[in-house]
Amino acid sequence: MAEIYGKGIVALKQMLDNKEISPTELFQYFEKRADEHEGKIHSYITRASVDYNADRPTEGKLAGIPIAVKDIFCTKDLRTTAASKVLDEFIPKYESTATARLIAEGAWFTGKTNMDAWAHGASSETSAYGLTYNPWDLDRYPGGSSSGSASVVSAYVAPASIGTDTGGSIRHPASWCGILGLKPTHGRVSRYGVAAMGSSLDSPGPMGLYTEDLALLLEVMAGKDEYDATTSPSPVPNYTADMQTKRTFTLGIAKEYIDDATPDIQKRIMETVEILKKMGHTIKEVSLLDPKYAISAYTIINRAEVSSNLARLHGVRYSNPRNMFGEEAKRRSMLGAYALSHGYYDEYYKKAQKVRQLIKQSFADTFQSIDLILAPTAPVTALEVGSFEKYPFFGEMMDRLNEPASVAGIPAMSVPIGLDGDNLPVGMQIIGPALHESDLLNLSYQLEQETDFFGVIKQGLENWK
Amino acid sequence: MKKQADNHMNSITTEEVLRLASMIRIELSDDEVEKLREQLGETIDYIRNLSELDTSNVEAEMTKTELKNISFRDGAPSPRTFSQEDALANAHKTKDGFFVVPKILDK
Repeated sequence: MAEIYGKGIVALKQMLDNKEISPTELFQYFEKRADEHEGKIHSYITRASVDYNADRPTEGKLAGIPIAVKDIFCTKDLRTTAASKVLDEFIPKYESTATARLIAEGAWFTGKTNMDAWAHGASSETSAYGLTYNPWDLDRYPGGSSSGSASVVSAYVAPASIGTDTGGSIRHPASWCGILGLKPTHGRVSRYGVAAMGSSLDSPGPMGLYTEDLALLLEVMAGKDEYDATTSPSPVPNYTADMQTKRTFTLGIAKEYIDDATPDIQKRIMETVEILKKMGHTIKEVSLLDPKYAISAYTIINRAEVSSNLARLHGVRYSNPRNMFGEEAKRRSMLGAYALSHGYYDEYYKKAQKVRQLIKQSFADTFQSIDLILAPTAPVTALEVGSFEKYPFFGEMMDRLNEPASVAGIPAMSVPIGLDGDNLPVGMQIIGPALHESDLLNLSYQLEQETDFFGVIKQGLENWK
Repeated sequence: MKKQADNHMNSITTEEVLRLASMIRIELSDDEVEKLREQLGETIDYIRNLSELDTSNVEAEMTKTELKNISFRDGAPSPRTFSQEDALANAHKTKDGFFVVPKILDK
């Protein structure tokens, strides 16, 4: 039998199509990987069995492909907790649109991955089910909030996963765990059946080891959904075909974003920029609104939406009582209530909505003269477990370079661009105009072909062989 | 990445913390009240930086999408409609096909 280890989902699909392996055998391979490594990384809250996947379609783009799912997507008859005790025993009776579309193409689910509770955080520290650890250094955070979806792929306990990104929750853990993650345009992938955090921000998306895998997963999940009124009616491109044609881009670099990162990260970004120049792309300096304002606008809008979304959990229809909320959920709901309350509404919520317009405008102006923006994904590489306590407002500080794109609702992707002095992965963001996911994937694929992501994916796989 | 202001002690009062807790229907211990007062104060101090931006000529648009007139058709058949059994499946307490809710009025 051909080697499975390290193969992405497109390559695994080939093996299945060639009958080199059966879906059950493939699933069992990853079950065994989980048995061996879960004790170290703790990626899952709930694991799924072969039996659970028994009725999957045998034809389709993902027939027989194992995928790990963030525990924020409702999965019919499979426990869904959002990493909170409030949903500890919740067994959804319906399927989220994103996971339903994966299932319709025959995907199998390996399990539900750990995360910050309600996706509030950037470390897995707020999960009610314990920490997830970074496969690159087990004493460090994996990032978050899609923590388990990043670590599970990084340690090759699953070949690909899906997460959600509200203010960086796909990009941030992807960068800390040395994998790829794409936050689509808000409204490109349906939010129906995803435990809501910030409804005007939440964007489900793919995570994996190879650009072609993200392209395929996005293609399957994206598109209009009558159950989410904010989904875009714009047709879904063939991302896989689009990325094959090498295109040249004008790429913008914003000082406001680069200056925020550690010297090691800045150096990796500048070296990548030099390579992109040699590949024929044009680099241009641009100026964007300082991310410190995006953090504030994001915080206010996010907390306001959190407080209204979590208000529906009253312990009658399907949840446990509200006193089981963790500290972070309480803190966010209270700040949201504050920003929306009489006397403060104009000063905070309305002001934040206006600043959101400024941020959108700042991006729109910039995209007049360039195609894509390059920036660090995070200001630092993976931090040691325990450092959460040292930062007030930890999540926002870690996501400060992710939140501007979230507030503007535009797509952004994190790709690995090497290691820092501590041998930890560095991620670079590719940010584009609304519905330009094809451009992001095209550039990512070029970097992959040219540099193999500076050996990060290979090294990560080597570490867990 | 340091705190923007050190005078956060006055940003929010204990009474306000208690009022917010009651708005979101959560009970807090005394320790939690104090901790939250401090943490919320720090965050509020930070987010006040928005006042540095001039937004006098900006409309507060509440939606980001360009979509218009998106609505469900009334009475449209839905293959995803719950059966009564499914709707009640995750409830803690049910009776005769209904949810049982906590009593909110005294006699």
